[in-house]
Amino acid sequence: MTGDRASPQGVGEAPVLHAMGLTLEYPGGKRAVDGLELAIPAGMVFGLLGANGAGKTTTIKLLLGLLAPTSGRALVAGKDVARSPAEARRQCAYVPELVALYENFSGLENLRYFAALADQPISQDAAIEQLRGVGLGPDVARQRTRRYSKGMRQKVGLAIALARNTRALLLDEPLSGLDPKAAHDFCDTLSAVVERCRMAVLMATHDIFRARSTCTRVGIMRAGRLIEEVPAAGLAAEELESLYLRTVGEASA
Amino acid sequence: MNPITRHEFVNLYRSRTVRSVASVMTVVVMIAALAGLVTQQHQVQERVAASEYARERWLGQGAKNPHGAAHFGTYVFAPVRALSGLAPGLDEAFGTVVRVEAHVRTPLSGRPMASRPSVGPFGWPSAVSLCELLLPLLAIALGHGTFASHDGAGLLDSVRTACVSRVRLAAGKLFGAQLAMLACVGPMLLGAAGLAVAVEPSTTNLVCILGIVLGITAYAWAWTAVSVAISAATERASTSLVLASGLWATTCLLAPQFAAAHAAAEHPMRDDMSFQRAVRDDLDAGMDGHDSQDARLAVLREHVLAEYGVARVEDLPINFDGLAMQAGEVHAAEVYAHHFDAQWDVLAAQERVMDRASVLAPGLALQRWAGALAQTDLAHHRRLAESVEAFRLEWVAALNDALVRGSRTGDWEYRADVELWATVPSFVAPKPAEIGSLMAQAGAGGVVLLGWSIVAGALALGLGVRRLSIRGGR
Repeated sequence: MTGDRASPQGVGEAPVLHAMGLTLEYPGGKRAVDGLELAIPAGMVFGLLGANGAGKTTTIKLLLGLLAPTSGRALVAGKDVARSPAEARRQCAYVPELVALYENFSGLENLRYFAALADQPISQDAAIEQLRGVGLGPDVARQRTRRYSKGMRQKVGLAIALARNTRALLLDEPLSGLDPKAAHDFCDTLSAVVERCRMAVLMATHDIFRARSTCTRVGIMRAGRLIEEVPAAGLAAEELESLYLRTVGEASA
Repeated sequence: MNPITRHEFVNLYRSRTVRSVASVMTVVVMIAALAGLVTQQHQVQERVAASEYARERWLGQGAKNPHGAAHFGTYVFAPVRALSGLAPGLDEAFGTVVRVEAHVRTPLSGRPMASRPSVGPFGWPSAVSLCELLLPLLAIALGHGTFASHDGAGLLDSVRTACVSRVRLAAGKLFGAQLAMLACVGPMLLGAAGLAVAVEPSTTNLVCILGIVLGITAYAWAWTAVSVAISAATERASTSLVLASGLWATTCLLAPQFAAAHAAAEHPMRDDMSFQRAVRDDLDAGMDGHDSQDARLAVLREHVLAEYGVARVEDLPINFDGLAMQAGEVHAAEVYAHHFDAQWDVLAAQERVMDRASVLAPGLALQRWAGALAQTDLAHHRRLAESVEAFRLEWVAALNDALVRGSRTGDWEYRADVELWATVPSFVAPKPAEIGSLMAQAGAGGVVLLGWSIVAGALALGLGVRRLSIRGGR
């Protein structure tokens, strides 16, 4: 299934993830995110590219309500993140770059705990199935996560996110540090999940090749602003790379 | 149980670091408890044997003038309290034996009372003092990463996005750490308490040891909350660890020493030489039963002669010398009481300084609490010393009375029969204090421990909630 794109059917629908003039300015005047406009409907995987420090992670944290914007608004499924943070978060799952898990618990226990935290308890059998669905077998799922590779942690992180049955999924560089096979498996799983659940997905990544093959649309950020936004369909990898280098290059020029 | 609390508890309990620290601590404290109780039993046997020997020595002294017997003297041995094996308090500082003799009041210890610099710190290492020192380290191991380490690993962001209320999450983390602390120290404390009660079973001992366990638990709670609070206030787990360890070193190692030094400086004890000189000066100012030229003795003599209607002491049907000795003894007792009370008052003033210092160093509050309940604190030693002095006065009065009634004035060759020695009373140790009065004595320490627990808990909760708050830009 790698190489297939998630269904673009959601394009044109009301956005599930919506940023309107979203801005975060730090003391001293530096803007980590500057007037960001973004609309991601259900079923769309939006790839956010950009150099380190471009504002990708900050954008995700603003959409999650982990950071408060200086101005602008972030909406998740129509809920204002600043005004109704709990309701907005209820519709939003998150997989960070380094999936944080309790090291003294198994992947299975972590999944069940985070599901319970979100008031969506999950049975042992359902949790095993959920983990199997993201490519983690029962034997591995029962091991303490301190022994997990990064790829295995990403799978647990994705399973935790999916167990919440949210309408939006935010992924912060989920492919970084994964070997090609693990990255391939992760994108494969993600595409299948999006197709099945029709989630709105925002994925920050440095991996141009995977972004092109997995995402519906791709945006390139620079200095907190979304400079370019193009459909990934029909775009050759070389074209996207060239666009990326040109956009990022202008920043460093 | 709150699932967050349960999860945090299991997470900590599964931690190898926590289990290692807890295991080492349990072994060390249990060894100290066992050694303390064995020593306590040994002391009980030793003092029973010593008391029996002193009594045999007294009874076997042979026919003797009663006043000579009063100078021959005897010995009183301080009773060993059942819980002194766990919390010896000031036992070592005040010693174990008092020589009882006419005209002279000696301190409870073999060492001069005046040489004691201050009331702190308590003896070391006992089970309680080890808990005072080591429990904070376990608390730091448990709590220093609660927020700082989880934030560094991204766990806080993960749980924040799970729509959990900040108060519920912060409370869950705090109570999880507290539960882990309880699981680590509970068996150890109950084990030590069980041993102590088994050694000397009684309701009072049971209540007191449970009180001590409760005090240690409150102390552990306070330190765990402090550790969690520091974790919530610092960015990184390493910073949290350094700060918490620094606080431990300051409050557990330095503060008690500074407090004791400050107490001694603010309320200095009289040195031995000036104490003895002051006592001697006041004794000299009073009646001396051995000095027939003493003017006050003449007044007493006139009074007694008038009472019996005779002109000379030689005509009295009693021994006037015995009356003179007793009158001198009464005066000396007043002088001693004045000076010894002043010394005890200085120690009590020092103890009040230590009580105030315990607001900054909760270990001092634990010492106060445990010492009072184990009856090894200052108040207990003062009560014991005063009861020994009361016994001495009764004992000397009995011997002087025997001299008065058994002989005539000037008959220094008089020898009382050996049967007399058996009629002279033996020392009976004061009964252990009632639970209510022990609780009242322990109150100051208990209030501070409770205060620390509440304030530290509130601080941990408040800082935890703040840590989980959304951070904004400009």
